[in-house]
Amino acid sequence: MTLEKTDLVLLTGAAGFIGRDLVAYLLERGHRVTAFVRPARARDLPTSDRLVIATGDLRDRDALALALAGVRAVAHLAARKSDEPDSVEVNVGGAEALVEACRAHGIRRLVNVSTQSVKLPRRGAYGETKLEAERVLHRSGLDVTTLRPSVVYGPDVAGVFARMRHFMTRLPVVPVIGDGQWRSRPIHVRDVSRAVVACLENDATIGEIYDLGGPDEVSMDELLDAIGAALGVRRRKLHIPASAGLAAAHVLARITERPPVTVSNVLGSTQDTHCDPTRAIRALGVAPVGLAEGLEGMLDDEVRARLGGSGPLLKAAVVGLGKMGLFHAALLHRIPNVRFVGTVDSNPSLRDTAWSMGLRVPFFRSLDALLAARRVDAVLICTPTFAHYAAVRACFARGAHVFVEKPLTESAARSQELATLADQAGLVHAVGYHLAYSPVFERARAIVTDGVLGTLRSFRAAMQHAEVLGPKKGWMFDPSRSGGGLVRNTASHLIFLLEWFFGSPARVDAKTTRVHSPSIEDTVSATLEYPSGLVGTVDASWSVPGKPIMEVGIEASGDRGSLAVKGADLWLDLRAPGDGFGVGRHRIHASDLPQEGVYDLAPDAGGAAYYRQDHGFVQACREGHRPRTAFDVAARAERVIDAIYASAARGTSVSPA
Amino acid sequence: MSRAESRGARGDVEILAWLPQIQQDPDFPSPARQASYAGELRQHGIRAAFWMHEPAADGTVAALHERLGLAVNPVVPNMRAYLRDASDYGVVGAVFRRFRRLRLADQVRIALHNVRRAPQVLARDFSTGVLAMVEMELPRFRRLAPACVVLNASVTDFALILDNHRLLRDFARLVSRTHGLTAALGTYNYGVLAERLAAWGVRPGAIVAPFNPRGYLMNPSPEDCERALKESDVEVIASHIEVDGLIGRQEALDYLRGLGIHRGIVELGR
Repeated sequence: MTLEKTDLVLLTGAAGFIGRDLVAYLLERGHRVTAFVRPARARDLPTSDRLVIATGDLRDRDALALALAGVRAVAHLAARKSDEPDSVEVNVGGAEALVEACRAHGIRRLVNVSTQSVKLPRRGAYGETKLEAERVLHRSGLDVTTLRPSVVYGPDVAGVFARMRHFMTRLPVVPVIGDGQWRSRPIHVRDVSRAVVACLENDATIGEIYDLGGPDEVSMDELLDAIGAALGVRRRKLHIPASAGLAAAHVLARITERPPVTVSNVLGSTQDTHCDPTRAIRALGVAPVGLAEGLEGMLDDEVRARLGGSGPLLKAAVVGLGKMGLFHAALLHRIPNVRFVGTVDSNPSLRDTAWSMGLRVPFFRSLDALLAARRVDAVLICTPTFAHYAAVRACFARGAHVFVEKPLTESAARSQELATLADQAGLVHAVGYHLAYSPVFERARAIVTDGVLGTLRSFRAAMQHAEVLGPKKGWMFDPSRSGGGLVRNTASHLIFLLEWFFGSPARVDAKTTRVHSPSIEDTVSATLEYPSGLVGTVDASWSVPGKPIMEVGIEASGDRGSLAVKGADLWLDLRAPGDGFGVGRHRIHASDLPQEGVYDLAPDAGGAAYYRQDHGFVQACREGHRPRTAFDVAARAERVIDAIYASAARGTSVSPA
Repeated sequence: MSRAESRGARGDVEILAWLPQIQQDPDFPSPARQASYAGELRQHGIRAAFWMHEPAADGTVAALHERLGLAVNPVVPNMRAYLRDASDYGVVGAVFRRFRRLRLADQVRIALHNVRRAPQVLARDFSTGVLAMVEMELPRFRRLAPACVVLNASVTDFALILDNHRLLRDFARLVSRTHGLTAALGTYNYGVLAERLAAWGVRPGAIVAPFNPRGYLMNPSPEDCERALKESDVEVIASHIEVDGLIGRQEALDYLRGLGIHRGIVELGR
């Protein structure tokens, strides 16, 4: 028979691991599906106008008869898998009931998804009942094809593979029954779905029984290592003698209804079945994906299922697990179309800490190790400033897009060099000046650049923070490693905004003072003169008590009006109408501006702006456009920073180089 | 804390105060400013407040508690202060500095309570570390008659984004079982949190989250938050109800009433 799009296909066990994927696959291909599930599992299925959910049990012949109305073909997946007391009733009796119901409705075509366990020399209840079900179905006179998949993997939450994954992520030592040399051919769940549909569409498969497996034959130890490699964990294995495992499974079966390990599990994972998928591949035209690629695809699918999105995912990693590195790493878990594939830090003790936070991705001790081991599309560099330059170059050499926490480097010259290199490489680049993604600053800038204030005359910019209230230690307070103090490391946020708002100044006159720090400045006062005649002042300090949250404010005035930005507010005072505002004073609050769809990791610290910034970087990488905080803009801001230092050192005004 | 318990005598919205911003007020230690805070609390009949401990505001908060019987509920841990110290003393050093500042009895109690978690402490397990910080901050609030302990939104939202439900579950257990108080989770992502808590089967005593007619800070969207509120049976204590003064008190309270929220937080001294 040829399966038409209009043909209704019934799936038993549609809410199980393979069943859910098969439902999705059939719906993707445009088929109509009836999902036959137990009532409690109905909510596990998607909603679609081409999906009918019929609830019941294989033993309930009335429900089965009702569900089969109008059905053209059946994929039979329902089974008891854990040696339950009613395994015979469900697996064998269910097959008999299904045959009877199909006959009653004139349905001839049935694909039976069985198991490699039927081939074991010594079978448990699962293998035994599934073998008997195969016999019932193939003797029925219906047009039956049986598939016997090896270990099926994919985004499962409860099956054998899910348990392996759970052990790998949660346990320091993974118990393995047997010597770990038991061999299987793991197959991705989507390949099983493809095979089922290929059978339904190909009458030459009627009456056949096929082994179904992936291209990689691996031992149990190798399978666990492959899972570990995909997830970024290495675990020791504790091999438990098969006899002891079997004895334990028998005991567990007596004392608990849902034992963690069943007799069938032990028998199935200690006796080889020599799965040979050659015939299936030839007959069905399905070429299963390799294990490593399949596991990667599985992790991609999990991201898409969680956050939506489509197409290839951007593979991103974070270098440096300090405060900002953790912040960005966390945000990458919430941004659609990106998969977080690794963290790098030279401190190995951070590996377990990061893992305990929930950053369950491969950890590397160096950027080189990450780039050698993984395909990485984008890297977020959150190391101390002195390490930025080499890290950016290494990423560009590997063709990876780069985001760098501010400041870009310790000097404008080095920053400019990286900006030039970035453009030559044709890669996306951005610096972490997140305030450029604050809706209030974004709106203020648009007002300035759209000429709403008329010809600009002056501005006042200020930044206050209670960050350094006494002598402090660390790389940031060592100018040879940080490239400076307050101006380079914190006020750079403000300097960047000024560059973004007003362009580059022609002259800078600055004074800096040391309040608490012996080697770096804690405050700055500067006057910036622009070619247009605009003059502005900058006052910043990180030694202001009572300011636990950094406050950044900009006031600007022109011949048509003025604006002031502070916190969540933008005040606009116009002498002439513009941008939809009339003459007079207007308050624009952050709540007046677009704010949907974000994840806020602390609004006081610019949390939503961080989300927008990282989201913008991901989009820029995927679409190939320039982020607003690109290296060249940052390098221009850093020229102003260099000029501030030069002016403060010389005691005269200087022109940014 | 059940929804019914949190209602005012008239079934109206009870107003609570948010104190963390008072230490940003340059005049806060002055007697005149303290009197103004007290007047504001009296005027609105506010009997309880939330506060994140900062040593500089200790005296002011203690005075408000003593003069007005104000119950002061902790917002813990003070991550900003911790991160500030961590940059000077290291991650572990910052924790030990806090431990050393405790009274001997509290040191012994916390040490005994954490003995069985020693392997996690040594492995720098994040959840264990956060809960240790929570335990070290709670003794300061003992004399302030707290009824509820709020997990700092920056911690909740960090745990939430990384699916770290163990931290949220353990926090709820620690506060309710060990200290006998209501465990509340602060968040700026209510729509996501409510849905994930239901999926994880984690049920805190309350959630502190922004709810206001402008939808400000109601992430991922006001519609998602309102929908999640209808589907959740965990009490919500609304914050940011007046949106920096853009919403009048009556309008803010009407909005909360319409959603069935019975407690709202206003920022003192704004």
